[in-house]
Amino acid sequence: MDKEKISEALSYLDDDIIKETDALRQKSAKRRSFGIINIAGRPWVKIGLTAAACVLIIIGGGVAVYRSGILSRKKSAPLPDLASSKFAYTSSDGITQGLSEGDGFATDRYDTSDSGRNEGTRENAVGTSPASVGEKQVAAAAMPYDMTYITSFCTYTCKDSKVAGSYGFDLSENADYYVVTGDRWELEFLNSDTWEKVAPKEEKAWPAIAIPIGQYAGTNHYSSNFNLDCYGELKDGSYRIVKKIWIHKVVGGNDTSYEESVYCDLEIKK
Amino acid sequence: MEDAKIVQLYFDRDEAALNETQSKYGKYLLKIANNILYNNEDSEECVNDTYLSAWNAMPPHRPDVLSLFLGKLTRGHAIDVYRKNHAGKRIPSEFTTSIDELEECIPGASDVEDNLEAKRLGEVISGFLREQSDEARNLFVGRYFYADSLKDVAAYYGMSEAKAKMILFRTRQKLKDFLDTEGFTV
Repeated sequence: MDKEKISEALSYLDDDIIKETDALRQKSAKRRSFGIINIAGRPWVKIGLTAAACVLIIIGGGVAVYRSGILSRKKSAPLPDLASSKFAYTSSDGITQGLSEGDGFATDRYDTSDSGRNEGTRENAVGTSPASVGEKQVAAAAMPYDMTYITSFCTYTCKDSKVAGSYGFDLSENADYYVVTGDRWELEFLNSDTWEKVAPKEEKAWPAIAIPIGQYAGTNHYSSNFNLDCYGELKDGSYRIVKKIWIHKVVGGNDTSYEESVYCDLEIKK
Repeated sequence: MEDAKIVQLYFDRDEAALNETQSKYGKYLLKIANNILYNNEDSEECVNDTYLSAWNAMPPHRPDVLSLFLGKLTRGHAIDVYRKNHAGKRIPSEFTTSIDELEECIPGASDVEDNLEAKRLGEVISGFLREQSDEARNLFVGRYFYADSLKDVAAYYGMSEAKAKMILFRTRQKLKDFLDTEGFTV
């Protein structure tokens, strides 16, 4: 057998096989006749596209940071803390599940069952609430921004002594400001009528990131997963995740920032 | 004109069939011939032979796909002309290059190889190609049936020539193994 015999044999390939390739050839020839050249597969194009994408990401990131006001705010406002704590919770029995939803000053209601599995539902209440008692509370009317545009939420489970879930907040599209926050959060416990910070058992370094929410950010939603594994033993009661935010609003022609807190409530019951 | 009508002209023994064929498929057939012969004059002669063969074949043969039928005729004529005119010589055509590449597909020496009909081998290779990816199959047919250049076959999928070359290399290696397992080797 020689190579020419194989080549000759190709004349007897099944028609459908040749037809398939023929269609591809004609399509390719048509593209070339219209001056359309597919260069995506060429190595230098891949390198070029990758480099261009990197440049765009850098520029885009820079623009996002600039527009978020971090570099240009007039009033001094701290960025989200970069080092804080992460906490742990240990419960001895049962499963607790919770769902909370409300604004930054919302109240909550918690129902339990006796089956070892606890489920909670937190209802939204705009305005003042027990969750904020004892805290520095800013009267919305006195400030140039409306906190009711922010709705917090917290969904969590408590199972095998572990509490985990996600929390966050939504900023209304009607809001006339945008929000910047970071990764850091803290846990507080409601002792009588006073919210007390829960000390962490282990320190944790938080990433130095600023997360814009709302105008210019492309999203009005912030959420993050959490767990309380690193806390010590926690007693039953009402807890809340405290999230620092910075509200940015143009006041008097200046982009001014105001520090605020968003609270996401938890109910732990053994 | 639709293929079915052109075929009917052949069956009606209407010489307009030749004009219609030339009008619709002249360039297509010339490209096939030129890929093999690398010579315009020989290629045109080859295409004219194709028209004559088509005239003689229809009737009774009624091709399902006229373009493929004519393409195969042209390819056969071109290979004949290639062998006749360039025996012992090496011409710089895509066909020369492509059949050199096919040398890699030749199984080990075999006494039965000469007995193998080209048609049977064509069927076996068809079976092999059906097992391959669309990409590998079309690159193979484009390169070794149509004798398209590496650049042209790479353009089928907008890939680099290097990638097309690698796919073709692997397909040839697989074909060699396939022919071995089919018993076309000692």
